[in-house]
Order: sequence, then structure tokens, then C-alpha cells
Amino acid sequence: MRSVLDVNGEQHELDLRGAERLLDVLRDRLGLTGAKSACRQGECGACTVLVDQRPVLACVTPAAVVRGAVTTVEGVAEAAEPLRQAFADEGGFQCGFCTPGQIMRALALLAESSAEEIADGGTVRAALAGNVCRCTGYAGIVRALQRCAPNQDQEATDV
Amino acid sequence: MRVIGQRVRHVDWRAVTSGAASYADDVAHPGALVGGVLRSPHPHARIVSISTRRARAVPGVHAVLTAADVPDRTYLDYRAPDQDRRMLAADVVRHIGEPVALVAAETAGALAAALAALDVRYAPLPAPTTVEAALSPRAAVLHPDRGETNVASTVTRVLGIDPDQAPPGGHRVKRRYRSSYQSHVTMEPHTVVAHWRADEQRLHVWAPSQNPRLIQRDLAQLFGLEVPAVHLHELTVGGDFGGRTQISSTEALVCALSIATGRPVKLRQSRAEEFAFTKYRVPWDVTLEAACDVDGRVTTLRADFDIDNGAYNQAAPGEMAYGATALASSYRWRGYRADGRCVYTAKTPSSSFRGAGGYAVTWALECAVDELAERAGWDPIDFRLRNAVADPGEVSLTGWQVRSSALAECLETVRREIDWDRRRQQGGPGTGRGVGVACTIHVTALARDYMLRSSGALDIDADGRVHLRFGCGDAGTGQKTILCQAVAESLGIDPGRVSIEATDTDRTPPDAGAGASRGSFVSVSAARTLAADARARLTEVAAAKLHVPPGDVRWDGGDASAGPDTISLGDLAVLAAGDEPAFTVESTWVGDSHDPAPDGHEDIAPTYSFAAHAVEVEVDEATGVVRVLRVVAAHDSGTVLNPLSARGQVEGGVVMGMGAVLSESLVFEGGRVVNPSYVDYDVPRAAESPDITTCFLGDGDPVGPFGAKGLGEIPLLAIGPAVTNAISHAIGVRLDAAPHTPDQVLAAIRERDGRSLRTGSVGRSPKRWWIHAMRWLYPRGLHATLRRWGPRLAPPVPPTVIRELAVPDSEQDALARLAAGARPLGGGTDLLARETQGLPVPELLVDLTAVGGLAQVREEDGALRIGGAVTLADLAGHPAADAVLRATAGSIATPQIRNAATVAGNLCQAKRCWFFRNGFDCYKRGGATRPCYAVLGDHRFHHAVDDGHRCQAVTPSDLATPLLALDATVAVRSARGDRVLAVADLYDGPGETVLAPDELVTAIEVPATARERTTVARRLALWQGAFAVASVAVSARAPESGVVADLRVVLGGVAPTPRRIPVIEQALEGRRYDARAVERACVAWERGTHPLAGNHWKVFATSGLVRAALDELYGGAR
Repeated sequence: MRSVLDVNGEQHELDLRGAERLLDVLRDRLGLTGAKSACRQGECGACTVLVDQRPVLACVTPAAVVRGAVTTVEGVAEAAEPLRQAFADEGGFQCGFCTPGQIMRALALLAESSAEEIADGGTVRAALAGNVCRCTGYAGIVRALQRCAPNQDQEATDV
Repeated sequence: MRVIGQRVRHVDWRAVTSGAASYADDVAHPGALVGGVLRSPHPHARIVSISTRRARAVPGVHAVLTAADVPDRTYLDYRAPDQDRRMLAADVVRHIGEPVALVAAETAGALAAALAALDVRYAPLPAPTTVEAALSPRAAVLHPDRGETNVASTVTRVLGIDPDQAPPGGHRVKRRYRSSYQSHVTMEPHTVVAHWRADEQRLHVWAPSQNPRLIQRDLAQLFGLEVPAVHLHELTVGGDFGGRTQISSTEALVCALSIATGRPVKLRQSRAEEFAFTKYRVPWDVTLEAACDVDGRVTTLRADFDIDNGAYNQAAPGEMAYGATALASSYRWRGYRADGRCVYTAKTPSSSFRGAGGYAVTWALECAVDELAERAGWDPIDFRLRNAVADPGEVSLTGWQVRSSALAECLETVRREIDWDRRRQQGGPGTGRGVGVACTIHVTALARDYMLRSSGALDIDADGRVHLRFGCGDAGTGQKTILCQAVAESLGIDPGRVSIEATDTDRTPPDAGAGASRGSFVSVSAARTLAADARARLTEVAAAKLHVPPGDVRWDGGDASAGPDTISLGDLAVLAAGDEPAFTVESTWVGDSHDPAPDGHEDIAPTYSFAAHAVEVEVDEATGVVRVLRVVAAHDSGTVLNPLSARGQVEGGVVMGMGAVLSESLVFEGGRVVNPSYVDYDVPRAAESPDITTCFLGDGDPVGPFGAKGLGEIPLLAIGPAVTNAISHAIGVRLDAAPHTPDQVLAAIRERDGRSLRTGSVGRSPKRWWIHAMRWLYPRGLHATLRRWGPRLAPPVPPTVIRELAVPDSEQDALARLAAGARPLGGGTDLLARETQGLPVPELLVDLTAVGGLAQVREEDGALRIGGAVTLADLAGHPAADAVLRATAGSIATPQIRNAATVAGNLCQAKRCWFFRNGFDCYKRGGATRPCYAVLGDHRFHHAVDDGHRCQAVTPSDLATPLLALDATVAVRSARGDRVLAVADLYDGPGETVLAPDELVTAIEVPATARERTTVARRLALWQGAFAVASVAVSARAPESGVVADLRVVLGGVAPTPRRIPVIEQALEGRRYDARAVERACVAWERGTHPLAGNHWKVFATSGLVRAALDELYGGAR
């Protein structure tokens, strides 16, 4: 089936096979390997991308049903600079494999939440339930998100 | 110190946070073939024959390999005497998943076809899949060539006075502890690429590991190559935790395929394979008998243990030897005896895991010490302060010599920070709260030659930039960052001027990688030595240039000066390099090591770290659910090299160690893993992660570089027993089998209260008698007969693929396509999961989310109409929807799933039985000739406690429960016309609806009358977002009146389909709300259920949910 996919602002005309997954299209056809394949059954969040600014799991999304604009971690490198630095400064990642998914989830959460909601650790933790991280114990990710509220303290030394 | 002790960012932060970091599956290899493994379906069998003829004939297949085609050598693995593992099984398979044959093909399709065309005939043998079965005198012996029994190795330790001869008096506790089967669950599934270059006679490998040199060494040995002929390339590693520190099976298999084809080959492991066929933490079954005198001083410790080795030796025998020593190293025992056996079982081998050797023994010991303190009448912290090996200069009974220790300070800190005395007093049975503590000692590296040896290289260019080359790998721990810091500190330069690579075996000198918490000690020692060597060479060059004696050269910011003259580091490097392209120094650091002591008495490590953790938990006595509220982690790891990464090691270790005692364990059935998925194996998620306070104490170690000691493992050791001890405080019962899932905790509470652990009855229904008879017959041959003969009577149902997905332009178009054989697609979240799970999926789909009218929520005459294609997220946020529906929709699965999954899809999703989902050829997967694996298997959570039939599964929709309580109807449409069903009539089996294949759910309607009632829902789930173990919805008119009117009590997850519970409704209807009447009604319901042998607890927990929901509903009335 021929289809046009908007990814990071670029239009891609694709001939999609059956229920070909958005994740496979991104990684194998478009060379966007930021979103990771870790479970292929919608259970871990490593493949999280945004469709019209809402986080979805690319591994269980048939590319053919995507009608909105897809944003991957490659498309937000600059826009997410403060968040990326916060992840680095607060221990928001270790091995980094889940990080692109965490960043995309976090961006959507920051966009849709009030400052009070982000300040509440319980709310942030619940909102991150779809993104498994095996390294950090989540504390650093929560701190990174909260740091992206205005008037936060200084950054760590940059290597 | 200027750089050491600073919060320096992870050196790879830019690449990692932008998605640019390259993991094994991200590296492009033009022309690469895809590799695949044919694995044994039997836990123990003789291979009668293997025919590769049909597989080789599949177009696009480049290689099909069996044991005859690969070198006949054993893996080096851990210790020479233990070597028993080969690349491919030749004559006998000893566990499910053991590699039997390999295929390399052009495409995934050709690979799948070739794997399916491989014809292997097996003669099944008796399979001892548990330690108990393997130790039975009648057990089949898995390795007859290695001994007459399944005991792979044994250990005995006798130190000090004999515990059996200890003088009487004092206090004594004895208990058997069983640790869990924890899986590493690295987020990156193991993916390896190999490329044999015949022109170079070299093997190029991209393999994620925290120890690239061990992978290189084993591959060279297996293929008869010189070590340098194997080249491991630089790669970002997606986690390790000990699971990849030694070679798994993947690396050698993909290398064999590349050698056979001369092409690059990529082998990806699926998540299910990752769970089922990779190493897991070595499980211990240890009985401890600990004693103290009347003054509360520990005296003797007796330990007897069996550990589960799996089918081949990997780390378990060595871990047993270490653990047998570690057990008696943390307290001031006067006598110790241990006897242990490492036992072969027909399962995937267990092996090294962060905290290896120390994890399970520390958990058991710290629980035992806690109980001993209680028995002796001591506060748990005071008892530890009195008895722990903690003073600098002190030597444990086992010979461990303390060089620095702030353990006492750690214990006092956790006491203060968690508000111990107050919470200890306020918590306890009946309060739902408890606090617990644990502490430990842990090695920093091991005093073995291979481990206390590290080499590094350093290059300085003309701009004064320093580049480090270390072979230690970095799986995310921050190892590379602290090496950069160590060199920057030693050279007096900014860490921003130092870069590092840590894997490439051509470019880096050898290092033993991460293991035994050695990185911050050994590799950092090497980095410091390397910098000192560089400084010494450059001092000579500077002295010559400045015409002064070397002693007069001063260093500042990397620049050398004497008098008024200064030379920059870059200029010095150019001078020192001479004709070379860069100034390079390479050096090796070697620590003092010795051979293992046969009796276990030795100073086993260069130095030791200490930690104490305190934990506060909340226990729901009605359901058994435990929640960790707060953790205080106090650590003495000497000087903290980088507080940012150190804190991360503690926080990550705390949550991982918490998982091992609360939720994580592989479940096996007949040697096959039942829960190889993130949904069924409960890794802690953010919602379960506690508030963690981390404190670093201690002044620095006299022998550690910059005063540093190890840190990576010790957080896991302390947290587990602290959690168990906190639960014990909360409920007043000592738990001794991990993980402490709600079933176990609830059973302990009921036993404490003298309440029965069993309920239900067969009753008078003939259907129940029939089911009861079937259940009785299952262990008496029916299960085995169906399992053995079922597949011969009817072949397994092959997996299907989705061929076509149509996007309709109108509802009529969608209905026409459905009539023509297509099936409805909602969010796709379950359908594509089913495809991954190898379950049959429709070949033709039609996307209902494209049909506009189906995605609306609206109110009409007081009724609520929810379109079938409305997403759960939209329902959760819709102002017109009832609060109970919003809350329920918002609690299902995860935010990402809720953004895609539809209301109709939720109602119609297939069952979540973990046997059905995870590859078991069961009744519902393979047809009527197959057994239901849940009858005899682990059915604690997601199976019926009432009216289960041939299949014991339940309907998983959490939304159906409140919808039923709201008298909702389902509008159904097909090309043939419309019809309306009550939600109660939607199901005719577990996750099975009465809908015809061409019908679609257009809407769900909640009538106005029902919406006038108040409705409350509750669910019990193993993690927030998990499929509910049980769900409850209660609905009644005017509950504020206090009189029960028009009551509905609906249960989901307890019977094959959601249902109302008349026995409770009728008992309460028309009466004044009364908690005792509710209790009586619930017990009446409990007695009428028909649970399986292992899910009686769920009946009681569901009762607890009902009581809580009714209390909430009528709370305002009291």
C-alpha cells in the first residue's frame, strides 16, 4: 500500500507491506535508529515516538494507520537540548538504550503538564510507567524532568 | 582534588541523548545476512537425527550448521575444571532452548522458512528441571561423563569452633531461605554481528559486553585463532549487569555463521529469548542456623545450601565457593560451618549477576541476623552495631581484613534519616507500615592476578588533548567518565580535554572489564599510574627543553614551567613524540594477588566497601500488596570519584535489588520459562520506584586510588534484606522465599491470624463436578497424555502474518471489507503483540480508527455513548464520561498504550494467560487435543478462581468490569444489520466474544438510569498498568443514605468472563450498610468459589477489594 509518512517534518512516500510496524519503517527504511527495538510487543517504551505530539509505541503501531506527524528523537535534538542536559546532569541515563524513548515520553509530559504536576514526584513516576529503565532506578529521570521547570540550579561540568 | 569528586557528565551524554549512540543493532553492515538459531524444544533428549537437506534448499539460505560443522571445543567460561558447554548440542540436549542448529539467510523470511524446514528428531529423556528432582536418587543424570549424580560441585567451609559443638545457652534461629530467579533484563536485547574476513584471516565482532576481552579470548579459543585475530569493535553497550561479562551462546554462533559464509552476519535475540535463554541470577536454597550468646554477641553460624546450576557450568560453581566464604565475613562469628552443593538441572544455566555470590547469601544472612536480634531482644540496628565486622584493622573469621570502614556511621545515618525509632514504634502488624534495615560488607575486586591487572594507553596531541584507550568496556556505569577524571586530576587539566575509547581490542590494551566491583579501584589505579608515567616522561622532556633539572619543573593546568618559561602540554607532546604522530604512553598496573585458599580463609580482596540501608514499606493487609515508600542508602565506598554516577549506581542498584525480593522471578513449567515478557516478568517501573536518599560516608581508603573503593554491586546486597525485614516488621511474620508477591504476603498474614488459606467448594453443580474430575485427572496422567499425544493427533497451529491492512474511506467501506473477510483493527496494540508472540493473527485487516464517527464520546438524554474507536486516553480525559470510567480508562496499561488502544479493542482483546501468550502449545493455541498448562502450572495471578473450564484463563478487559456495573450495552454492526448486546452477554469465554467475524463494535452505551447511581472501581495489579489480577466495580443508588439500594457488585479477572455477584448483592440489598454484613457476604462468596490449587489467595484478595470498594462507596454514609 502506498502511503506518505511525515517524519521530523519530512515527507516520505513509502510502499508499505501489510501491518509493517512504524518502528521497522523508521529504523530499516529511513535509517532513524534512535527509537529502539527492545520487546516488539508494546511493553517497554524503548520505541516511544510522538505522533501529533502524543507518545505512542512504534513497535505496535502499523505504519499504515499513522495519519499524523511523526517525531523521533533525531527530530528534537535541538529543541530538547535543556532536557538532554538535565538527563546528563541528574543521572537520567546510564546505558542509554531506553533514553530516546524516555526523552520522547518526557517531552510530551512536559508539554502537557502544569508546573505543579511536574513538581509532584508521584505524578511524574506514574506518567513514566510505560518506559522501563533497568539502570537508573528512575530517580535521575524524575529529577531531570523536574529540573526542566524554570529557575533550576546549575549544570554539572561538561566533559 | 579538582576533578575527582566532581559531578562530571557521562562522557557519551551527547550521543546517548540525541539517539546517535550506536548499539549493536544500529551499526549498518551492507550485505549482512540474518542469523537464526534452532533451539531444543525438550528439556532433556537424545538427538536421534538432524536433516538439513530441506533447510539448505530454501532460496536465500547461505549456511545451515549443526554440531558437526563447528569446532568441537568447550567454552572457557569461568573456571577450567568446570568446562562442559559446547556451541551446539551434538548428541544430547539438556535444556529447552539449547542451540541445536544455525541458519544464515538473505532475509528474515528465508531464515524463518529454513528454521521451519530443519528436521530434528529427538528421543525425549526424563528431565530433572528442579533441584529437588535432580537430587532424587532416581533422577536422570544430565552429565554421566562428569559424575554419577547431578551434583556439579560441592563446597565445605569449617572455620573456628564447630557450630554443632557450640556451648548451649543464648539464642538461636534456624530458617530456610530461597532466593528468586532474577533475570538481568538488559534493555538492549542481545544482538551480535560478526564478519569473518578471509583476506585478513580475522574475525570482526560487534558484541555488547562489559568485558570485551573475555569475549575475545573465548572466541579465539573456540575457533582455534590467535587472540589478536579476533577484533572486537567499539560499541555502545545497552546494559550488562553481569549477564554479558562472559560469553553467552550468541557470540560464537554468529561467528560460526560468518566463518561459514564469509559474509557479515547479524543475530538478534528476541525479548522472549532474552528472558528464557540467557543467564539469570544463581538461585540459592540456603538453610541458616545462627546463634548468639545471652549478651547479644553472635557466636556460630551453620549453613547448608543447594544452588541451581542449570544444565551447564557457568558462574554458579565459583559463585558458590565465594558465597560460602562471604556468608561468614560480615559478622564476628566465632565458629562457622557450611556445606553446599551446586546442582545440575535441565534448565538454561544460571550465571553471574551484579552482586554475584554475595547477593543471595547476604539476603538470607541479613534476614537471619534480624530474626536473631529480635529473638535476643535487641534493636536490629544496635545488634548490627554490636556484631558487624566494622573496625579498621579488624579481620573476619574468614580472613577478610578491613582497611577502612564507616559502617557504624552508615548504620547511625540510616537510623536518623528514616526516623527509625519512631517508625519502628508506630509500625507493625495492623498498621500497614513497617521499617527494616540491613547492612553488609562487599569486596572491591578480588585478589586474583587476572583481576588486579589493568593496562591503559594515553595519547596527547599537539593541541594538548588527551585521548585514553582502555580495554575495560563500559555498559553504562560511568566507567569511562571516571577514568577521564582520574587522568585529568593527575595531569591537572580540565576533564573536557580528555576523551576515551574502551572496547576496540585492536586499539586498547587489555583489562579484565567490569566485575566484582573492580572498576573504580583497578582501572582507576591503572589510569592514575598511566597519567603519572606520562607526567614523568613529559617532565624529562620539559627539563631538557627548559635546561633545568627535572626536579625544578613545575606543573600547572597541564603546562610545564621553570622560572619564567612555560611550555604547553601540546608542545611538550610534540617534542616528546619526536617522529611519531602523537605522544603515547602505555602502562600496566598490577595489584597484589594470590591463589584461592582451599579452606576459604584468605584476605580475598584488596579492600572492602560497606553499606547500610533502611526501608519503609506499606503493606495492604487485605490484598498482600507491598509498596516500598522510602529508602535510605548509606554507603562507604571510600572517596566518591563522581557523585553523579555514584548516586546513579546506588539508585539503580536499590531498584534492581528491590525487584529481586518483591516482584522479579522467572517462572518455569517443565523447564520452560512461562513469563518471558515485560508484562509477565515484573521489572520495577517508575511508578513502583521509591523515594531514595543516598548518603556517602567515610574518609577514603588507604589503598584505593584517590581513596576510592568499589560501589557497583553493594547497593543490591543491602536493599533486598532491608525490604524483607521491613515487611516482617509490618506484618509480624518472617518471610523467607523471594519474591514476596501479594499471594505470599497475604498467605502469611492469614496464617498469622489463624485464618484458613483454603476456600471454595465443589458444590452441587454437575459442571463443577466434571471440572473437578478433570483437575483430579490432570496430575494422574491426563496432562502428560495430552501433552505427549496431542501434537500427534493434530499438528500445531502455525503462526500467520498480516498480509494486508486496508484503510477504509467510509463506514460502509469498512463493513464491506469485514463482510469480505477482513477483521477489525483498533489501536493494534494487542494484535501486533500477538503477532510477536507467534499467535494466529488475521491476514486481512481493516483500520477502524479511520472511520470518523466511531471515535466520538457524547451524551444523549442522560445516556453516555462511547464510540468503539475512542482511545483509552480520550475516554480518560473526556469531561462527559463518568468518573469511574475515566479513572478506569486512565489506569489501564501505560500512557503510550492508552494513546493508541481503543475502547472496543480493550473489550475484545484476547486472554492474557501467560502460557497461552508465551509459546505453550495449550488448549486454546493448539486445540482440543492439548492440555491447559495452568491446571498444574503456576496459576497464582491471571487464572480463574471460579468456573474455569477446559481453559483456566479470564477475560482481561478492565473496562468491562465497571461497564457491567453500569448496565452498559454494546452496539454492534455488520453489513447484515445492527444489534445491541448487554456487556454481560458480550463474552462467551475468557477473552472471547460472541461477535461474528464480520461484526464491529460501533459504540458502548451507558444508560441514564445507571449513571444516576454512584459507581466505584478497584483493581489489584502486580504493577501499575499491569493486567489486573482482579478488578471490582460496585454501583448503588444514593449510597449517602446509608441504605443499600440497587446494588451491583461486579468482578473481573476471577471467572472466565466478568460477572455480577448475586450472593453479595442480595445479602446487602435493602439493608443499612454494615461492614460486618459485607464481611459475611464476602465469606459466603468465597465459599462458593472453585479455585485452583494455587490461587485460593486470589479469592481472599478479591474479597479485600470488594470490601475496600464498598467502604469507599458507603464511606460518606458513616
